[in-house]
Amino acid sequence: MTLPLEGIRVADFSWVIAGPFATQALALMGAEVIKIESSVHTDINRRLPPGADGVLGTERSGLWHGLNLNKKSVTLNLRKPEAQALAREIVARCDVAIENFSYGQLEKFNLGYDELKKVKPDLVFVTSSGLGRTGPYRGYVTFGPPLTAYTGLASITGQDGGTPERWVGGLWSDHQAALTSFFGLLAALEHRDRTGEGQMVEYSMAEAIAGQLPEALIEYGVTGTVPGPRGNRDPAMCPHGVFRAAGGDTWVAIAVQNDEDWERLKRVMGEPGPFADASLDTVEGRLARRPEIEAAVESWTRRYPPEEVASRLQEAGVSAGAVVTIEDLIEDPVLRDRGFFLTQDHPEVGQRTLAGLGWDMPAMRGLPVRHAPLLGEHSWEIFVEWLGMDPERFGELVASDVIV
Amino acid sequence: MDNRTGLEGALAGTRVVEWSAGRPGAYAGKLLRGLGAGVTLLESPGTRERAFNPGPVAGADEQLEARIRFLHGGKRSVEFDPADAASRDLAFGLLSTADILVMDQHLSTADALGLSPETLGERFPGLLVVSISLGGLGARARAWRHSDLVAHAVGGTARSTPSRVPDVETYPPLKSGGYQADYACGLHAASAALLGLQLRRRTGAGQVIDVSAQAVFASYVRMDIAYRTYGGADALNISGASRQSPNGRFSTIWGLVPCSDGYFAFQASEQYQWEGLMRAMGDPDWAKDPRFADPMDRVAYWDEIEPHFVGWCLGHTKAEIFHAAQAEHVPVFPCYTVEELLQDEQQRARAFFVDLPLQGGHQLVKVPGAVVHLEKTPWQPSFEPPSVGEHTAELRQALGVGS
Repeated sequence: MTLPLEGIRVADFSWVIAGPFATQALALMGAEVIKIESSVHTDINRRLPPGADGVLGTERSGLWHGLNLNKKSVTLNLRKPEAQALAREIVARCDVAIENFSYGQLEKFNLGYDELKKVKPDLVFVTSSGLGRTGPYRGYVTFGPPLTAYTGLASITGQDGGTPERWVGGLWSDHQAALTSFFGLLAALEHRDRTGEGQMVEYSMAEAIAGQLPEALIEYGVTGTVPGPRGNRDPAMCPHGVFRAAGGDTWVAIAVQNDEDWERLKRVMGEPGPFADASLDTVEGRLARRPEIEAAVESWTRRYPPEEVASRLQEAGVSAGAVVTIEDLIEDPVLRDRGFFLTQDHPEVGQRTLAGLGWDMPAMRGLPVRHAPLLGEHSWEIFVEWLGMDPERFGELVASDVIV
Repeated sequence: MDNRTGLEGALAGTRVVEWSAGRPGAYAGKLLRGLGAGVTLLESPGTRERAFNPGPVAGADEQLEARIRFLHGGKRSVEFDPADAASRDLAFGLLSTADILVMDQHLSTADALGLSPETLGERFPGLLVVSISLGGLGARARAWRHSDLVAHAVGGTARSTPSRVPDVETYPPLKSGGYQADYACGLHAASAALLGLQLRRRTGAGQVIDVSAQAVFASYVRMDIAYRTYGGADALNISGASRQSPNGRFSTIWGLVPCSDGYFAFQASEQYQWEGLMRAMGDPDWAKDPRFADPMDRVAYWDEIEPHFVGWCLGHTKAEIFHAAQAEHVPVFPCYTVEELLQDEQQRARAFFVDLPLQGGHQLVKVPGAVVHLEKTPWQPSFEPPSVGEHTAELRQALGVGS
């Protein structure tokens, strides 16, 4: 089976989450991704939990493994000119280079775009940082989570009428940035394939998040009112919420998206009661009595397990779903059927299951999964076998902390 | 430049058909249009109003117009009635010359019409069919009806939003603000379409690509999944997927902290970042207590640290804390409203937000602009949507399909 990116080579200078998730997607889709890292200053995620079986170590982090499958790893101390030269040799044989250091860091290593395109004129170069390469705050540093606050996403996330939410599930900023890198990179690759012309792709993580807030911006622009958190409510739908189900801390999400859905909901609930009022047959009528409707829906949902409520509503054509725990998700038959989970066989931590990708296609059947690389695992292969370095020279560079 | 559409960009000359019923497909089409593809909508009257309805709110008509302009600007439109043979002929004519079809129709509806992604993929072997749905094309979830809210629920992100709550019974799991699942699915679908172009270049064949909102969000909770499959203790998980926390508050590693004019966010995963934060706070004596030197110890002693920490923050504005901490290379950011974000000096300098004209240009509202900056193939913006069916006759004639 041919994968979409077979034959593409990527020099991966990225680290933490946003860059590595993008390059893992490339690697899973068939690209040869060479991660250029260093034991002098390792990717922080190699040291972060969860460590396999509760033990931390360079080769034990589940977070790191889940972002670096199918890649190769070489180690270079990029502070040294010899290492910088080797990095340029790698880039010269690649189609793509990608980085997400704080602004200007790669230039300090003499590996900025201007340097790299000298050795590879048709290079696709992807760069991102928290706030971008231009502007007065371009040097400001970040991790992903604080950017949900900066971009306004936190200000519209939270309980209805409450305070901004401090955490948006799923390391939101990093994954959004990763997909933005992936999108821009593939667009530039398409252009290169058509014309032979490489180019730089640039964006900021903040833009990757704020780019998905048009409705809040439009609401503010049209009305002058600053939107705040609405909980799970929606100004155009009712009922639209997360309701308690039978059992402790179990919930079901229900979205009645139009008046037809309302009729479906009533049929499933089977107890018209206060819902028999014809004034509720329009969304305006329902929104006017939202607390009452939500209370009545919850008095019904509390009688049943969330899966049962969701199943009955979905069968009737209403969007509904149990609010799953991570344990539920791992066992979820829908995700398992589509082969979402990926299992690596890692030399230090053994077989471990990790999250996959949001898309699937026949070309991905039997997707090969190779373990996240050990630090420098492929240095010999890349430098000696691929670049043709003399083995004696390789030993010298290891001894002199260039390949380290 | 594409001679037919007059568009430049990385995808100039690429033909996309968008059969969307909601935001995910519309956003995927917008992204491909932004790269220069020619995008033709298959739509029926009323689809836009149903898909982008802002509800009975102030300025509803203007908000609806703005949403349509934002999502459908620069596309072409063909009126499509799947039950009408001539209309299907036109749609099939478009698909026979298209590179990509993006669809987010409810799959049961598409199946009943004989227009499932798989059927269309078989009929047009060179076509890249990108399907967006809640649970994907598999039998178990095929009939699931999508919504932004439910995607958060079944994909696992609602459970950790909010994290670390003091009483799980009174804090329901949350969706994130706006329509993040819809937009994330659109971004995935557009990216998957680009992957499809690469695959077709290698194989010469089309492909049916299945974007599942559940899988998209499950891929975002990869850290939480790893916490389970690696057997580590959840106490260190900054996502806090277990929800329950005795005090429901931030830790020494990250948080959203009150200050004199709102909140700011910080993350100090590394020791040097905590030390930088303390320097930004003026090297307070309390921070020199040896019991607070180690990150894990700071978690344990947080009850003692918190009054000092928050007390200082409440005496300073978020702007003061933002710039002081960043001067020490600590990831600290103000918690902005969308109004404040638009006024931020960095955003103004980057000009990421652009003017969308309303009511014939008498009103302008700021919306997100170029998703990425492509040095040689700039973003192709447009906020001029077609009227429904505006290009039906033109395309019938061009394709030689009778009415």
